[in-house]
Amino acid sequence: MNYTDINILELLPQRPPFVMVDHLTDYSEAQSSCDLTIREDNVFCKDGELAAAGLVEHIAQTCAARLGYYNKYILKTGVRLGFIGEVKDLDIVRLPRQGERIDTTITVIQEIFDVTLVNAEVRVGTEVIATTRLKIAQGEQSSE
Amino acid sequence: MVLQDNLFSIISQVQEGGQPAFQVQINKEWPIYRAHFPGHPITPGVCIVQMIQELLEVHLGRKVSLRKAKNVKYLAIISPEEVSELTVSFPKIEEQEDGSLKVQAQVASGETLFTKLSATFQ
Repeated sequence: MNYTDINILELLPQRPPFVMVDHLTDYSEAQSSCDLTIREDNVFCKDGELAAAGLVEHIAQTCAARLGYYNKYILKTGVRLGFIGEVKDLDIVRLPRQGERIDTTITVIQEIFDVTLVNAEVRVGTEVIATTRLKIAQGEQSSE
Repeated sequence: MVLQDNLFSIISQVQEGGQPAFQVQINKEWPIYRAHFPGHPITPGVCIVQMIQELLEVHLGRKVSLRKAKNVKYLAIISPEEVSELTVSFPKIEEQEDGSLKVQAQVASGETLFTKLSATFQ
């Protein structure tokens, strides 16, 4: 399956203008990736850069897209709401600039019931621009 | 996206034991609440971090940017339908030798603690 063909809105509970991933680019239960091109009209784009809040939201939505794919295409249920439980050891080397495409890979460390712990790495090409560890909690099914 | 006067507005700025604290009003008509999530408005966790940053900038009188976060813990969600005012306090703002700032911040309402942050701003 070519994951990039999936309309990302099928996988996410968030709606524009609060959508911070363009495509799911790779999926497995243990590791998934998403991309985002930084456009001027992105709500977190400021002074030609994606603000730190937008970068962390992009990482969280990479987790959401993985869970959305699992819920929708594997369990065949609906997309669920998700919340950040914890951001740990966030290190931003630099913020991505307008026009750049960021590729983010999350690696699952632990998944217990509705809580997922991941390591995340954000790259521009081969340059790692940010790393962190996120805890994501899933809630009820999305109303859309 | 600037959050001050969109997501929140400052009601008052106070000192708590010598440390800065802000009382802020949450604007439940903020358009992002319709996107996060449709029918279930919840304050995005990343926007709570940005609100802390913007209030830190008000306190300092200059712009800062988030570089590192040791941890940000979200202990409870902030629903604009249930919470209208928040207290954002800064138990620690410590300048480092390289000019960066080590910051601890808390977001609470009454007895409820929503968010705890420990981070470095530049």
